[in-house]
Amino acid sequence: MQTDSRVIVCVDDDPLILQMLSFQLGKNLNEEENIVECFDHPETVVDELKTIFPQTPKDIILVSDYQMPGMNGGELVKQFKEAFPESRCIMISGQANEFVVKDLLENGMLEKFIFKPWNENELMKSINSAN
Amino acid sequence: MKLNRLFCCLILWVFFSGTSFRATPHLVDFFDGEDKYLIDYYFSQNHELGTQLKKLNRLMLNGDNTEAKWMIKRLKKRASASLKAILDTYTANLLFVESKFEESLTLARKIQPVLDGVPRYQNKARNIELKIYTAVFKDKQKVDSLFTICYKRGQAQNDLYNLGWSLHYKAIHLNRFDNYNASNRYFKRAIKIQRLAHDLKGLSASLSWVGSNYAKLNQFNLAIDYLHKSITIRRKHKNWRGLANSYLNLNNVYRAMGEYAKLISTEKKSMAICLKFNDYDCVIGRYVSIGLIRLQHNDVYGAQRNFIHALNLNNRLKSKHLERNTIFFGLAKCELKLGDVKKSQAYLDSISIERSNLSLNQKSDFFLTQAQIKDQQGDSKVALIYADSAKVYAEEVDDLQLKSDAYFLLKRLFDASGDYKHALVYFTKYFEVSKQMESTAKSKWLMQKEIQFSLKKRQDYLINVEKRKKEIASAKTKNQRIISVVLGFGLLATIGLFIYIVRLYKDRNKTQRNLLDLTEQNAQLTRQMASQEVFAVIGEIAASVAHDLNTPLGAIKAGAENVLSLLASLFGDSIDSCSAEQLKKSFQLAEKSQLELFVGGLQIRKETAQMENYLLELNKDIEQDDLKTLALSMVKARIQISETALIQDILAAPNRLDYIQLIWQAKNLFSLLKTVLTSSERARDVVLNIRQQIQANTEHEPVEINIRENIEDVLNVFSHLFKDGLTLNFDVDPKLYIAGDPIKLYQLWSNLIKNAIEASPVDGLIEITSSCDSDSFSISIANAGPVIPAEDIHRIFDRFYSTKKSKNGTGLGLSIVKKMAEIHHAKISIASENNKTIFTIKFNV
Repeated sequence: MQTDSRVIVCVDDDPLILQMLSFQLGKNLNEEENIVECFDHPETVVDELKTIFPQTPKDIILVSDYQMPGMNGGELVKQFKEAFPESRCIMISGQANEFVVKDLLENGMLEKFIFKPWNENELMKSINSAN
Repeated sequence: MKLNRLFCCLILWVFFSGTSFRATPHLVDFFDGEDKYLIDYYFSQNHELGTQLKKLNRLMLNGDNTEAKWMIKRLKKRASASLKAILDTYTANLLFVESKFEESLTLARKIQPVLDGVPRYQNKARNIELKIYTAVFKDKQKVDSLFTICYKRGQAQNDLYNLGWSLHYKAIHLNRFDNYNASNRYFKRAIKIQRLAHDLKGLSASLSWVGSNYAKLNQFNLAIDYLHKSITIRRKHKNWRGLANSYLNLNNVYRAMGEYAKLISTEKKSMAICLKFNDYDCVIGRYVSIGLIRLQHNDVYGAQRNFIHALNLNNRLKSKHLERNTIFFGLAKCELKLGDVKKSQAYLDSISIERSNLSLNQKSDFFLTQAQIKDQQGDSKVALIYADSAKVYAEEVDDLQLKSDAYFLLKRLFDASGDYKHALVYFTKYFEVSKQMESTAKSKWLMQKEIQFSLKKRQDYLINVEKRKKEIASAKTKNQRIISVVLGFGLLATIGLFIYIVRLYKDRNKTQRNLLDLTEQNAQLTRQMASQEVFAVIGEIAASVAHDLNTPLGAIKAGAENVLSLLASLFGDSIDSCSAEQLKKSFQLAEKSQLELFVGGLQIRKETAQMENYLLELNKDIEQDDLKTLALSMVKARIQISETALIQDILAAPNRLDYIQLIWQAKNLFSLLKTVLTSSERARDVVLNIRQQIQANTEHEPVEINIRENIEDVLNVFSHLFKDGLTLNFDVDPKLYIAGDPIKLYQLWSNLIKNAIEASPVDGLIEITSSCDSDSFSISIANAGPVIPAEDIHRIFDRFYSTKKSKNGTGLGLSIVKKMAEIHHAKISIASENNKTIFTIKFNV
């Protein structure tokens, strides 16, 4: 599969949120250069991505929720970073006081944390910010 | 505190030698207790050991010799051979300080072979040897040979630390032979190396020595410069004893330069150091020094003050006679200058018992003072005898000041007694000595300074005069302005204040009333809030509510924003470029078709390729670029390949891309708004759950309730859900009654029924039945559907436990059921097997 496009992976257990995200991303990003994939089961994300993209895409961004059944956003980010070390991770969540998130931010694993309800411009800015 | 006494004696001794500082033994400098360089090495090897060595060094630096000995003894107990040898170097140093030079030497020689094998300590014992020889035995050959050995070894092993100290001791040796320039050369070499080795203790010592060497060479500016450098390091390094020593040297320079004020301030600094260590002997010494300085500069009252401080301290401490003698001396002189001969004599008499302990200088001074007293008393003959003795001692010591004083006194006495011949002799001698004193660098330097000072003073004065004139002029206008501004503000402030006070008075009553109301409310609230249950529940709910509400709100917000932007583009471009027919068709399509929530990027690419092929089949003349764009936009608008009619319609249209765009916009509008609706319903459900939970904790009067009617009420709410395939079998005995809270029971049934509905498949069956007993009846709610695993059954009543993946519940549902059942003294039981789950509530009648 083509790997020179940017891949944006959205993970949230609520499909409505995924709908909103894919709509916003589709509106603001070029089809040629961006592939948006949505998942609502965090456990299988990394495996499925590996099958879809046998060669690691050089530019891969994760946009994830925190509170998800099965695996929470923090663990997902850790797994994701392990599998794709050069990826950038952004978290969108309604939780305000998670020490885990703070931990991730400080370790540099998480690039940005955005609160729900989120601002579309803020999201696009953080995705497009200096690659 | 032997060392400190020694130290103080030294100071006094130095002082009594007046301007001569020839024999100032820097005994303190020989004590290189702190081997920071070495300690850091051992610290890195063995943390424990390093700390202990650091402590030991600190003790020795502070002069705590007894404690240090103790510590060495303790450490030696479980020490290896090399460590014992290292500790012995400290012992050797201590012995040195106590002036037990032979012992120290033998010990150093003994441990050297052992230390040869210890890294960094290899040359230490040799250095101690060198130190002892330099300090005590002026054996030039021995010193040179030792120095050469140490130096060569140090170079070979690149042992910068010991190399520095070897050079240092050699330099001291040269100093003792009065070869100050050569001494300085060696010290400067030592300094270079000590800087490299970061040996701050050695560096500060070397700097101090260089300073005192320059003082001897009468290069006072350089001397002060170097001494200050040493002082800075020692102060930072907290090397108090070294600092005291540096101050001592500095004072010698100041004395030679005649810097009276600086002299006293340095003495005061030294006193501060002494106080730091509660070393009152030292403090007494300092008071005495200051007293003597002041006396020399004719500040008799100041001198007296200091001597009396010293005496008081001395009385309290019951110290040795030596200090007392000095103090009495000083006081005697003061009294003499003040003219109280009797007191002076009294003081002098107190000394006479221990006269043998005085130094030559002191003896001369003593006799001189005695002679002066006798002279004042009118007893010239005796005075003469004393004066003569004073002269003899003064000449022996060859102290210019003492000689001059003695000669002068003798001249006067001879004058008074009529012996003019002798008077003349002594006057000549006095004149010679005075000239000698004048020609010393001291006076020259003083004179130079005076000239410079007066020149500078004059310049400054002229500049100042100009400045002052300007300042006064501007100050005047400035003052006027300031005054007017201040007055203006003052006036406004008073007016404001006045208004404020009036207002305050008016509102006073109102606020009092308000305050009363508020306190009432507050009391009520606190009473309510005191209910722990409320706190606990609110706390529990808050966490889950925050998240549960934020998610639907996020979807609503994004959805609404997206709808607005869609509408903007719809009514912005699409409507212009599309026909009414196309509009109608688009919206019909949108209404009918269910748009997927999201499609993966790769799937889109796949479908686009397929669409391209299909379009090519339909119409072979489509251009490549158009084909790509058409296919992509169709796939994005979720137009399936199967919708042939629509596709052909699109292809036939003149505004293909706009039409496709229109379809996409319409479909998205519907989809987004549905999402907004769903999300707001979820938010409502969350809120309902909360209200239920809160209601669960409010008390109501028990009422008689018909169970069947109660359940029917609840079923009415859910009636709309029983249309599409889901069937209900409702068979409850109408004659069952219970006393309780109907609203709470609503919650119980509604939660159970809602769970049953959600768990049940689309065409499932839900059964609500009752059964009776003699003393109880049970209501069962059964639904077909996935079985609850056995291990989860006991957990399902926990708050927040939920197998539901939807975002509807707060997870509190079954816990509410449990609570409501408990309130009505009912028991819940669950049976879950064979694709059927039954909840049974048993009420006692």
